[in-house]
Amino acid sequence: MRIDTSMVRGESGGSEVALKRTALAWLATVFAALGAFLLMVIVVDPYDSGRFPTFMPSGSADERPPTINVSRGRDPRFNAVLLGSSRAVLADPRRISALTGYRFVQLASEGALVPEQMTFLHWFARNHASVDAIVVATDMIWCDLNPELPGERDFPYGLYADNNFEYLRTTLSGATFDFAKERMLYALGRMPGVDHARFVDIETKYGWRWPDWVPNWYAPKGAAVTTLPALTRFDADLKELPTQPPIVLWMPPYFHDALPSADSPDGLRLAECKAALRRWADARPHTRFLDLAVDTPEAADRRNFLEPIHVSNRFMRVIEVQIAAAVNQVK
Amino acid sequence: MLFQSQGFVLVFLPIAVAAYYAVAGSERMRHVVLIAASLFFYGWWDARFIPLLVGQIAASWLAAYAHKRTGRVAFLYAGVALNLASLATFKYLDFLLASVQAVIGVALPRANIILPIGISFFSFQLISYLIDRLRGDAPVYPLRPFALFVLLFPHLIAGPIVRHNELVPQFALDPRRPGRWFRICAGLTLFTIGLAKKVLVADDLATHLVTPLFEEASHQALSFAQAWNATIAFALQIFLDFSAYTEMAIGIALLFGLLLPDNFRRPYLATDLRDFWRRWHITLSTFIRDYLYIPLGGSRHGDARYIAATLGSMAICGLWHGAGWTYVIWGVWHGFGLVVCRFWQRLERPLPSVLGWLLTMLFVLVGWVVFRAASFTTSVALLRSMTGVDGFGGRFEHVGLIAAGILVSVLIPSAHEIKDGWVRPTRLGAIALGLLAVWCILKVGKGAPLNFVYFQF
Repeated sequence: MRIDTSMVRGESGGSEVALKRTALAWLATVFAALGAFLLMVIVVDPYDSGRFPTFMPSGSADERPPTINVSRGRDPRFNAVLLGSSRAVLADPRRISALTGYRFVQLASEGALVPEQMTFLHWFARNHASVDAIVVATDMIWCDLNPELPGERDFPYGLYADNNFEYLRTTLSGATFDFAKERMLYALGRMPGVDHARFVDIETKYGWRWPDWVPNWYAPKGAAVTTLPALTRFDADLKELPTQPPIVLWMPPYFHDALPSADSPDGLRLAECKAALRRWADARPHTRFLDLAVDTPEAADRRNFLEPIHVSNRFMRVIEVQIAAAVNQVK
Repeated sequence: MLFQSQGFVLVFLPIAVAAYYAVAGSERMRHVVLIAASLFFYGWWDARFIPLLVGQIAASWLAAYAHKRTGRVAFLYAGVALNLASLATFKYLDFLLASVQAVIGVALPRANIILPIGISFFSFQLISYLIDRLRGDAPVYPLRPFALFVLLFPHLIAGPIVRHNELVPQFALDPRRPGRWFRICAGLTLFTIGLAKKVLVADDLATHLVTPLFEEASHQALSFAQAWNATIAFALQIFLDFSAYTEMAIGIALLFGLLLPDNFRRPYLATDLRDFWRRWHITLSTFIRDYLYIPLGGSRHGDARYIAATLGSMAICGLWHGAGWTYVIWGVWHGFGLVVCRFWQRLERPLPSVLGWLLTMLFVLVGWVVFRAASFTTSVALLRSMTGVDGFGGRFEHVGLIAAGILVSVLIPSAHEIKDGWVRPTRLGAIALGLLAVWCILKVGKGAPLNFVYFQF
């Protein structure tokens, strides 16, 4: 096959001046439209990031897992945080606050792995003078021995970034229009805002079914748990805080059938992980590890679980009291 | 770095084009800029494979150079063997081990080598050059333009497969020569059209239909409507995705004042299978014709040789697409169709165009099922569902998206036809295309997905 080289030599159908204007019009359109888009992001602040001066009121109507904490994490009413994955989302910050005297905000988020949980902590710390208490649900995600500690590929880290350029780059998405629309409706009083003191009730939000599977304990076979990469990361992030707060680590319960027997390989790895968490807590002042992943009568009651690794609201109300008691012990 | 990614469109490409025109007066510096940009582009995927890419280029050039100096063709054969060995190792080793294991029934270890992106394309280009040299059809180019002929980032990852004599002479041309703004306009037009096809149609077909339906088909039988839904959606997706890539590649090259060959000419309008292959992945089919089919005997040595050459070259064509028997079967299926088509045409009893088109599309769709399904068993189950022997139930979904895919497939001409017929100096058109590009740029942004299905724990 031979290509048509006449075009290559520069013979064209239109006047070069007019074609130059056409090409420049394309470029101007692209850059003007993108510039207008970014201006809209700065003025409307679709995620309620508070990064730029704006006439928009604080707060949002957003309850989506990856974005909800942008607004919630900078709410000045709170001085303490709840962190974790979906297994901790049902914990009611109002009850734990009432029982401890701290003002907790729920920053646990569906699908949040350790890097995302640390991102939420960092965002909260960046927007508050101090972090007075931290409660973390150290579920099996924290037992992962992968030193790279990968996060969720599609998580919008840029929305929580220190760098405003990174933030703007992340907002360059069609979805931002929907958030902007919601924020405008919220600002105009035509859409109710989300109460940041509450939690997202994922029990009623999703249709739950009891699956036929067992959890992945993350630890590679035969590996001895000496240190957990998640704790190394947590240590590093804690060092950035101006003062060291009291911390409670709690391992969420698992339904009886999902708990590995103590002498099985999975059971041994789980025990090693718990021991590592306990060692870390014991070595740190004002810190406690609360192990709720144990075989109790409550863990054998299916009404206490949405499925084998997610507790229901019913059980979480009991757990909140245990968490609050642990917080009161270390504060 | 994908062509449709924001980093490519908003950062890499503008910088590369600006740097290129900044040094446009110097041929040497133009080559340097394009080589550097191409290595950066390739390294963005996986920098570990840059030595492999550069090594194959250097070895092939040295083979040609040694042949020129000594006249010994053994150097050229060695160069071809080296490129084939690289391709066999990196792309086909595990497939070969699995196939041998299936025959001998003994478990064999796997190499688990990561596939270097674009290896099929750059290896084929180097092989074609060395074979042309064997035939006396290729000079020994200076190393820099030779390297650029392979590395040039618009075609490096997924083609079009370019011949040395199509591209290397263009490297000497100053991009500021007359017709610059026409080429830039054509480049921007093609890039925007490709971007829109990929982002607005092909990706949605994949997300909403192809991926979920073929995934479901690997676990359970699909209904009649679902099976057709999946197959038609995949036929549209693979064409729109690949042709969009080609349009973007040709568009990008035009921004640098270079013209790449056409690759698709509305293949779903073909009225027979030979016509289809003259319209589908043209640079690969001509490569297969020139470097496999004709050397294997072509059509001039009797029917038996013709059948063997067709089936053999199409089987290799299938294998080129992927290391799996389903690809080989897909290739042989098309080889078989080409043979039947040729013998039918010899009878000189042409079918009415509509009937020819219908038969061609049915034949191509059956091939796509085999090509896309996770296994041969799944393809058989899918084809069974499509026949309706298990009933005609089910629901055909996303009709609007399918209709859009069909319209785009049959209405948008080839990249060269767009370049030659669609580029006009119109400011309104430029603004519309610019807004379309922005829409696509925003759509690929994943900053905060609206429906974040993020619930895995």
